[in-house]
Amino acid sequence: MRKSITCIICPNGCQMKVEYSEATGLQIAGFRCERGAEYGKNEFCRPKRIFTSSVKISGANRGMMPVRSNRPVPKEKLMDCMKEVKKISLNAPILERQVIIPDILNTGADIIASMTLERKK
Amino acid sequence: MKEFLCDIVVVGSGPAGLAAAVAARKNGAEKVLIVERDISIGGILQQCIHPGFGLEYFDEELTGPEYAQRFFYKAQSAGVEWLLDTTALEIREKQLVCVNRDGMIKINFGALILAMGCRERTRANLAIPGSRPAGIYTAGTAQKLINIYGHRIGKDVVILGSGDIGMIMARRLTLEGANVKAVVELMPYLTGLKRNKVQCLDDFEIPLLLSHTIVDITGTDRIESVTVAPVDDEKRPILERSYIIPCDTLLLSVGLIPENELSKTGNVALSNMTNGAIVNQFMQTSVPYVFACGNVLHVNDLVDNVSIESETAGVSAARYIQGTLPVGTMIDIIPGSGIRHICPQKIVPGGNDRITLYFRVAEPASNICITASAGQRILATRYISYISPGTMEKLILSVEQLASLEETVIVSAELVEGRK
Repeated sequence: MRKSITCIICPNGCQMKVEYSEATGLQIAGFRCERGAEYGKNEFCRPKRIFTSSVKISGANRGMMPVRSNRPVPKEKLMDCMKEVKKISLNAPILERQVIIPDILNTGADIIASMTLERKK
Repeated sequence: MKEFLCDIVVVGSGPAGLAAAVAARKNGAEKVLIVERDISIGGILQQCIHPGFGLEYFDEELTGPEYAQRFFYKAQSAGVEWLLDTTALEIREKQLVCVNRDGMIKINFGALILAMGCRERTRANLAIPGSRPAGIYTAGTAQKLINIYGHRIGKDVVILGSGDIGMIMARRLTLEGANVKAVVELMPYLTGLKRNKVQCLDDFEIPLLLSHTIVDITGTDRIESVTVAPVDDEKRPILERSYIIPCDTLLLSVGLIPENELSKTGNVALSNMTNGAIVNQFMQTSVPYVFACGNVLHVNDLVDNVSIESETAGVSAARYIQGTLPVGTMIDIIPGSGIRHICPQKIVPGGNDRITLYFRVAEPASNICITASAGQRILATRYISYISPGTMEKLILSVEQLASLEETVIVSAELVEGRK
C-alpha cells in the first residue's frame, strides 16, 4: 500500500511518500524533520481528526450549540459522528465541556459543548 | 443623552478587543469599557466552531467559541466592563458617540482602541457577470447562518476563492449533507493555509481548481449554475475552455477588508496597502490617543497573532494615559522587493522592547532571505524555506538594533542561491 501525504505541521508543506509492504515494513520519504515523519506515519496508519459540529438548542439566545470531540476520532467516522449528533437536541443552560454524547461510536471520544449557553432571560 | 468617562474605550469584543482590554486593565488603566454591537461577547470566533485556534497562545487546539470563552473569563476576572447591543457611530476629540436602545451615549475617554475586525469582499467587489439570483453568499455569512442559526443554505455548492473560510465551509457543508462540487481559485496557488486544504478539501475529495474563475452566473429566482473557465498567465479567462457547473449555492471566499468606517470619522490615517490604520510599534495610530489592533489593522490568518499584537495595543494605551509611552520623531518602515505589505509602518526610536514586524510576501517562493535594513546597516535577517502570500510571517528587530536608528527601514525578500 502506498500513499502521498501533504505534511501540515509547518508552512513548508512537504510532500511525503509513505509505503508499506510486509517485506520492507513502513517506509517514509520526502520529509524534512522528525515531526513530519511522525505526522506521515500517523496519517498513513490511523488518520484522526477533531470532530466539530453544532447541535440544536432551545431556551438560549442562539439556536445552535457548537460541539466538538474531546479527542481526535478516526477520519472515516466523521460522517457517522455527524449522523449521531443530528439526533440530539439540547435545552439551555449547558456548560462548556459538558458531555453531550459519551464515547461516540465506541471511539473513546466524548462529544462535548464548546461554550456555555445560559438560559435566555 | 447619557454621558460618562472611561480611561480606555475598546470598540469590538472579538479576540482583538478582549486581549487589548485585559492588557490595559492589567497595566493600570482603571475603567476599561468594551463597546460591542452584537448581543454577546466574542465576535466572529462565536461562529468559527472548527478547531485550530490557540496552538501558539494556549499551546492546545481549541475551537473558536472555546478560545473566545477563555478571553471572556480573563476579561471578567480583570474587571473589564462592556456595553452590548451598542453601536459606535463617531469618534470626536477624546469622545466616542454610540447608540443603543436607550438612545445616544457619549463616552469621554483617555484613549481609544479600535478592534472592529474586518468585512468580507462581496460579489460587488468582484463584478462577476450574470444574473442576480438568490443563493449567493459570502463564506462567513453562510458560516453564521449554518453554525449559529441552524439554517440549511443549499445542496449543490460551488465555492469561489481558496481562502480559509471558504475551505472550512466546504468541509462544514459536506458534513451537513451538501455536495460541494468545486473550490475555484483565480491564483495559481492556494490563498489559505495548507492544513485547511488537507483537512477540509482532500479529506472529502473536494476538487480544487487553481488558475480558474467564474465567468457567468445563471438562474432567475435561485442560482442554477456557474460557468467556470481556466485563466491564462495574465489571469484572463480562456472562454473557449469554459464549462458549466450546475449548483444551487455559490459561496464567495475572496478576501477580507479591514472595517475602518469608524476610524475615518476620527481622521485616523489609513494605509492603502493593508487598508488598516498606519501604526507604530505601540499600535498607536496617527491620532495619538487612538490605537488599533487585530483584523481592523491588517488581516491575520491566526487568532493567536491577533491576541499577542492586541496585548501590545492594550499595554500601550494604558501607558499613554499614564504619560509613559515614548514619543519622538517616527521612522518609516517600508516594503521593499517581494514584500506586499508590512505592519507596523512606523517606529518610535528608543523604546525598551524588541519589535515584531508582520508582513506578507507578494508571490509564493522557496529559499528566500528576509532582510530589514536601514541605509547600510542590516538590522535583521531571516531565512525561510517556503513562503506564500497566504501566510503572514514575522521578523523581529532587537532592542540593540533599534537604539540608534535614524534612517528609513526597508524590508525585502530575496532568493538565496545554493541553499537547500
